[in-house]
Amino acid sequence: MNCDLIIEDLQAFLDNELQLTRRSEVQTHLQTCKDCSQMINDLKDLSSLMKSCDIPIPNLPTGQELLAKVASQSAKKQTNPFTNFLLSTYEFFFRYKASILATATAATLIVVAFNISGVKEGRITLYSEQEKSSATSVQEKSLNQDMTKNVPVTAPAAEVPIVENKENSIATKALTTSEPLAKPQINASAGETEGALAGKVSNLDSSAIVGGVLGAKDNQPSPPPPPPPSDNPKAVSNSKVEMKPSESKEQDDLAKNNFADKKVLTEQEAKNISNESNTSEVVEVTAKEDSKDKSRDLTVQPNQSRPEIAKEKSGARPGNSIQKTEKADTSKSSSNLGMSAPASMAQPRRAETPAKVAEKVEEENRQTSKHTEITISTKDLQVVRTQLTQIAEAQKGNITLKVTDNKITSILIQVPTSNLENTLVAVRKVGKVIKENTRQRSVLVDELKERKDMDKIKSKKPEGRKQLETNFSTINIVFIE
Amino acid sequence: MSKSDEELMQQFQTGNETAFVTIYERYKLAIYRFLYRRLGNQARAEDITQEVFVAIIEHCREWRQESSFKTYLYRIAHNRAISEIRRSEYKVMVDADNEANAERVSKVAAPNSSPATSLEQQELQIKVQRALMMVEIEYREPIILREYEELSYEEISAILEIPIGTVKSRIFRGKVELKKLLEPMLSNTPEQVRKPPNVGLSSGVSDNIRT
Repeated sequence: MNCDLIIEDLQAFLDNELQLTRRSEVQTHLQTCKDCSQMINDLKDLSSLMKSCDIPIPNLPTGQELLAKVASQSAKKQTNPFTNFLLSTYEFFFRYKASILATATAATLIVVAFNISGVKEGRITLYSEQEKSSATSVQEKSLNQDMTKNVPVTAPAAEVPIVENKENSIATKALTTSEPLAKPQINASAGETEGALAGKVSNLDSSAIVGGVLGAKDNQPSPPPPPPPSDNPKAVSNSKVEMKPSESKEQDDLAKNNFADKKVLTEQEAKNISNESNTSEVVEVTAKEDSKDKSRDLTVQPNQSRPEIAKEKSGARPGNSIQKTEKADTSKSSSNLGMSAPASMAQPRRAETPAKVAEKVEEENRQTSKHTEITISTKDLQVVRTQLTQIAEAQKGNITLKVTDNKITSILIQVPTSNLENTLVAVRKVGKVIKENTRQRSVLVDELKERKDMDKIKSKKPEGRKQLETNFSTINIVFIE
Repeated sequence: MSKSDEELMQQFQTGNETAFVTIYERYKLAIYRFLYRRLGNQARAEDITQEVFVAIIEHCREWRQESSFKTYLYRIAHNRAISEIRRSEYKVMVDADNEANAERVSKVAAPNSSPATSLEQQELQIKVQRALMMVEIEYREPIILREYEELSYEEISAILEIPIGTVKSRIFRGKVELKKLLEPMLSNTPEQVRKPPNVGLSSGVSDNIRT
């Protein structure tokens, strides 16, 4: 029998996938043909080679988790009317895609045609007039409403300060104080034309805020602070009637700065301010203090939960009483922070102590592991690899290839930390060291989680792993040819 | 005695979730292996494995026992893999971010072996996977299903929806191609120990094969 006729059946012969008659034919041929026998052996070897290769362990959920996931997904689908609406809209669009597109195209063409034929100017003018008049009428309407009610124009102003974040609620606070201040300006401009009025109203946002903040600034030295604006808006508004337009620019700048500073304060702080029925005066003082210590505050804030630890570690020392008082104050209200000069002076010390503690804790962790990265220039990667294998073997370590884009780019050697120095000495001899960088790292934080996950997948208890994690260090050898 | 896949699937159709968990535990690794070797990327293989079983859950009532459950499952996996490849035009041979993988491979390979053996094993795995990803896709799938998943020619035929004769020839041709690709890779290794015996094709035979 010809080899060409039988060769494609050789794999099937190996796999026992041939019919009996065909199988006996192939068997007979193999007894006589050396090439085909060789081929059979090759195929067998390839199979065993392929099967010897493992693949990475997957990180898959359990069956129950998957069921729960699907259940929650389907529940969401059923219960969310918004999603349903979106889906139906999406479906509608795709169903009538052609007609929608045709209509849109036709509309565009008509508009273009009008523009070309000289109607463009008239059209634009008409449109802008409409826009303007509608905008003016809306604003005018709201103004009239407010004036008739004898209530300052707060509605538009209340939305002004673009309080994007809840943390910026101090801005809202400042604005509340400023709300009544808008009224005199509007009264003054009552006789003006509609257009001018609209212009004024459009500027109302910033001027109102400026007025509010500056009013607070002006009132700053005069205790006692005025009551909250919601209680008595007139009182505050009266105080602002005398504000000169020439001041407004300066004040505007100042107000902007103040607002920037106020962003440092948290929502809680703003809340506290309002609870204590502080007026804009207090807000101003806080803002000032904050602006002075802005950078300090930013660093201190995250660590504010740590002073207790810091105190324990550092022990009692003079000035602690001040700190203690200040701590209590800070927890209550940050507005007091600004009021008390010694407290604000003590801030940096407070910031240092937790940082030191954190450093100390980190240092303890760092002792667990080291990671060295060495860049070695080499001509023969194979030789280096063999040498590194021997080094790893001698130092009781593991060796791992790192592959990027199908090329072996580096070799990772994991050795006991006690053997790290010896290993490094040996590795340095392998080739010309271009760069070396050692850093300590916390294995417990970085790798423990991953390894725990691995154990979870394997359903094994992490026996003896702890020892390995805490006592092993790594050297990553990067090659440059 | 353990229940058959079909029995379990029937139970799941009636609302028995434990039956699904059993099926999932039985096949999750097989499907993952298939997808990993098909796509060459662990993260994608994991994602699509989940997708396959999610599809089983969502469309469990659509299974009518026309084919075996195993075939049905692999067909879903095969279709998902095709969609994934089309969607992303993903043709990376071995994981680009193999940093994590390399470590994992080594852990799988030989936890107690010496560094030299471990290194050899890792290299071999990388090379085989690389070569496999270079084999034409129409040959690759039947090879994976046959060699790794040990499915019968009939099952492969049903999954890939091609005649049995085509399965047979594709497996053979694919393996010849794989050998050709592996030959230079394995001969480049410094130590000949790594090269398995008789890996190279005998020239007389290989010349006769038109791949």
